[in-house]
This record gives sequence, structure tokens and C-alpha cells, in this order.
Amino acid sequence: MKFFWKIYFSFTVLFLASFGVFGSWMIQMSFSRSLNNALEEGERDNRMYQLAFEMNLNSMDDIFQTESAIPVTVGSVVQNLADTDSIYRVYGTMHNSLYESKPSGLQGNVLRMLTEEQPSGYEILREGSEVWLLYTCRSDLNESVYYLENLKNISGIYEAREQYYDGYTIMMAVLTVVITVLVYVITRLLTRPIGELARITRGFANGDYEARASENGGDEIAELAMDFNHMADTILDKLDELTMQARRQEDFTASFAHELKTPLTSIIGYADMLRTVECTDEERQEAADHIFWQGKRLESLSFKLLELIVTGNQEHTFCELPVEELAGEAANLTRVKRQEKKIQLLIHLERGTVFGERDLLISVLTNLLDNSRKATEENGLIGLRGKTCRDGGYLLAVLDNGCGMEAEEIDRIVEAFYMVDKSRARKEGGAGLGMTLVNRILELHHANWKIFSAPQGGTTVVMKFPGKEGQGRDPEMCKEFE
Amino acid sequence: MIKILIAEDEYPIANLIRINLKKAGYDCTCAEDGVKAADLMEDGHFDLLLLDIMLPKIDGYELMEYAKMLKLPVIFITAMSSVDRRVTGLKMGAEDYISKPFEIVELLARVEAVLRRCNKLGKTLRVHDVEIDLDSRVVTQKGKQVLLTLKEYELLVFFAGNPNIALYREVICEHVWEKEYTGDSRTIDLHVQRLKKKLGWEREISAVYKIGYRLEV
Repeated sequence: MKFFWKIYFSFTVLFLASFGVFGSWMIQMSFSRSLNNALEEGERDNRMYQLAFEMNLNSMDDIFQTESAIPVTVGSVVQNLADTDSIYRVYGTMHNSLYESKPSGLQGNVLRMLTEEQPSGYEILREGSEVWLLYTCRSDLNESVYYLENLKNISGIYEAREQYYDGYTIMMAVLTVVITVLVYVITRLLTRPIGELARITRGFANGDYEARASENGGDEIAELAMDFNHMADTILDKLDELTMQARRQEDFTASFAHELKTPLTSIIGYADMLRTVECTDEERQEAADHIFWQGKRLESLSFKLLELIVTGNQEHTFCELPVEELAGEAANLTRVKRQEKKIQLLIHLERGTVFGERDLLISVLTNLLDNSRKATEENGLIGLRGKTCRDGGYLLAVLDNGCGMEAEEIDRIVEAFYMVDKSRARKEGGAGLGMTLVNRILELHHANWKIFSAPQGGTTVVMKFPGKEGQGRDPEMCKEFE
Repeated sequence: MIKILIAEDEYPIANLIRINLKKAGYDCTCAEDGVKAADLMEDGHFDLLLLDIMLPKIDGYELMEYAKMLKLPVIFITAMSSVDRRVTGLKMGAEDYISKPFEIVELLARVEAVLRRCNKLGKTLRVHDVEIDLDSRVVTQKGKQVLLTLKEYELLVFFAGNPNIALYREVICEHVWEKEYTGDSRTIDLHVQRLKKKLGWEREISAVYKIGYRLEV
């Protein structure tokens, strides 16, 4: 059963039951008060009747006090009594009827039960639709016993009750309809936000991730809606993150497959040519050359990839390293290839230290110096500059006057296998992983870094290493170099 | 002469394809990016386009649309092994695909099959004094018909399609018998011997030691 119907039925039943009980109670109360009044009146009448009767009888001589004289006496007494609608009766000692003001077939049993200790009583008698109150008392007078009865028609009280009940029934019918409708409307209004929330939750579950519940009102449902929205936002964020991650993974896998298959295609193809096709010496030489260089490319790819994986997964021990030493080492490692293009490297470093892992930092510098070399024409210039920052960090920059690159290319440069100039990178034996590795290592060192470049305007890579205690992580410091 | 355009940005791969197609008797031109390929497609009347999907400047799928307009049959070369990519290429109207890395025999077979399907090649193959009519499957030598069994015929067609190429027994088995080579060379050797005898090609088809056979032209 739905919550709506539960609320609806419980409230309807509760309202109707309480109105019913209350109404019946009211009618019953009013009825019993009327009945009590009638009883009191009956008793009073009876007392008056008895008083008048006894007074009249006492005032007479004893000889007139015979049963035969009673009707006359009582007749005059009754005439003096105000209530003419009532019926007055007198019974003798033997319960024999002595007088009756009006003929009536109604007979009570009370008089037989009356004793000296219990001299009066009443009884309610019915005749057809009429209801009579019979009040009886016992009058002990001069050794004889008389029973005095007065009958009063109290049908009115009962009729009034019946009328009340009839009216009340109609009233209840109307009330039932009104309450049914009202409770329906109120319940609808109260449970609507729940339904709304349920609908939105269902929608969310079915993939409508943009749906949000309305947070109107300050009640529990609004709070629930707020919590739901918060949850939905969190889930959506996570979902986006996962999707992004999956896409990156997919891109990486696709690029990796491509990078792997390209040299393999050449190697397998040329090898196949050598073994199956009759070749001239020249062709044979060319094929062998391609196989060799594509093999080299595969080697470089696998080493770079290995380095990338190891960098991410290994525990590194950081220590303070003099920058001059790192720079010297990196310059040495890249010297031969630089000299091939007659490129000059100018090193200008302030004395200082960087907190990090020696091999990784040398790898960063060699990668950057290599990239600069690849981007630079013959007889070009590469600069390596460094200075200690006021906040304890160290600022290091690699500059060149090479071909530079576009802004969109800078954004994509850390993507694995992304190459700014594919054919040039191929010629130089690049795998498109250098900057990915640099980025990974600098992240590991909590270093901020930025590339400033424009086509034909050279490239500057600025890195800001924090000090030992992590001070100097302010990224704004990079601006000093701009 | 059949003219083939090779659109491939990797020089070694383009060169590899060019050398081997040239040896098989095709006239090849290379384009190292999409723009150059599109220009060449417009100027030269090519019979077939070998297209790498990941091309700089204009990508392979776009070029494929262009080739469709020029009614130029396309075989796309892809490093992507995913079925999706291959299906996309074929749905766009490519005649066939070659996935990297490939072997030379496969390259030649696919190129030949597509050219034949597109009616760019004649219905007859001529090698030395033998003429093979591919439609009626009739082999004639010096005007006289030579009777061959099904496998002998297919073997002859395979040799004729790959002249001067040392065909490994594995490759022969895969292409003619269409099953994996299990190391049992007798069937192949027997068929080659019978073919040599029927055509009198004792010297034309030479055995390559430890490898297989080669049809010298």
C-alpha cells in the first residue's frame, strides 16, 4: 500500500470515528439530561400529588376515608394539580385500582415492589411509539396503604433524540464526503514532494543524471531533497572523473598500440621483404637501415615507458641536491647530440639546492634539454638559468631560441604519445613520452611548472621547486621569469 | 600500368609498400599527409588508394569520402585493431583493410583482389608462355589448353600473383589450402612437382632451400 493511501485512510478513519463518537456522546448527553429533568419533574409531580392527596384525606373525617370515597377526593386533588396531560391513579392496599384520571392500559410493576423502606420508584413504559414515565409512591395513611401513580408522557425526549440522530446521520454523511475530499487534498499536498522526489530518484537511477529535486520549504522532505541533490552532485562528479579516467586510459591504450605497431610494421615488413623478395644490394641496405632505426625507436619507447611506470610506482628518497651538480650531469648526458647541431648551452645558476630525487631530476633536465635541442636549428642557443627564491624555493628555467609552439600544443604536451611535430620527433627518435614523464616527476616533487612559448619565438620552461619544509609552494613566483 | 596512391605519413612504411608494389608491377606514388594526398588524387588518375587512417592535416576518414566522390577504390591501412574502427572504415565504402603490421604477401593479395573486383585488372594473367583466364579458369600454354586440378590451378594463380617472391610453405598452405600449416610439406611439394611437370616449368619455379618456392620471371 502506498504511503499516500496509508495516510489518507488513517486520517479519514480517525476523523470520522472521532466525529462519530463525539456526536453520539453529545446526543446521548443531551438525551440523558432531558430524561433526568423529566424524572425530576415526575418525582416533583408525584410529591405534590402525594402531599395534596394526604392533606385532603387528613382533612376529612375518618368516615369518609373509605376506598369508595377516594375517587371523588382524588378527582378534586387532580383538578387542582397543574399538569393536565398526565394521568393520575390511586391504588388501594391490595393494589386494586381506586381512581384513574384518564383511562389507560399502561400498567407498571413498581407499586408491587414498594415497601416502607423504599416508598417510591419509577418505571418507563412504552405503548406503541409513545413513552410514558410512571412514578409511584406509597402513602401510609391511617392504617391503610395507598399507592399513588402519575403517568407522564415523555415521548418528546425520545423523539427529540431520534430527530437528533436523523440530523446527525445526514450531518455525518455530509461530513464524510467533506472529510474524504479534504483529507485527500491535504494528503496529496503533503505527499507530493515525496512523489516528486521519488520520481526524480527513479529518473536518476535510470540515467537522467541532470535531474535535481526542488528544495522548497524547510521540512524534512526538503532536507531529504537537499541531501539527494548533494548525493547526485557527488555521484556525477565521480562519474565524470571515472569517465575521464576511462577515456584517458582508452586514449593511452590506443596511442600506445599505434606507437608500438608503427615501428613493428616497418620491422616486420622490411624483414619479410628481405627474406621473400629478391632485392638489390641497395634495397637490402635500405631495408636493414629501416629495421635498425625502427628497432631503436621501439627500444626508446620501451625505456621511456618503463621509466614512466617506475617513476609512478616507486618509493623515492628525497634529499637536498646542489643544482649545479644536477645541471652539470644533465648537460653532460646531452652534450654529444647538441654538438652535432653545434648548439651552445649557456648555464647561469645561482648557488642553491633542490629537495628531491637525484636521478628523477636529472631525467627532467635531460628531457627538457633534449626537447630544446630538437626544437632548435643548427648553431642555436639553449639556456639553463636558476635562482633561489625569497620564500626558500628554487626557480629553474630551460630556455631556447628554437621554433616554439602554439598555445593548444602547450595544453596537450603532457599527454602520453603527443608530439608537436610528429615527423621531426620521429626523425629524432622521440616517443612522445618525455613531457609526460617530466610532468609526472615534477608532480612528485610538488613543483609548479609552466611553459611560455610562441611559434618561432622560442620556448621557456619554468619550474618552481619548493624548499625542504615545503615552503615556497606559491605558484605566483613563476611570474618573476615572464 | 596500374597506378596506386599510397597515403601514409610514416616514411619507412610508405617506402616499404612502394618498393614491394613496384616489384609486383604497379606504379606507385606516395603522399605523406592528407592535403598532399587529396591534391594527388585530383590530378593523377589513380586506380587504387592505400590510405592510412591517422594522417596529419586531413584524416583518413575524410579522404575516404573524397575518394568515394572520385570513385577511387580504397584499402585502408590501420594500426587500430579494434573491430569498431575497421567496421567504420568498411561502412564508409572502403573495399578492404590491412591492419598493421602486415606481411608483403598479404598486401599484394589484398591489392590484387581489390583491383580485380573493381575491374582494374584484366581477366587474364600472363606469365612466361602461360595464359590464365580467371573467369573461365582455363589455362593455355602456347595456344594449347593445359588440364589442371583445382589445387594445381589455385597454386598456379598464387604463383602468378606473386612473381619473384619466395613463398613460404606456410604462406602457400594458408592461401591455397586455406588451413594452417602443420609442418607436413608433402602435399604442397607434390602439387608443385605436378604443376612444374605439366607446364614444363622445371626452372621457372625454383625451390628455395628450407623455405618454399619462387616463380622466377
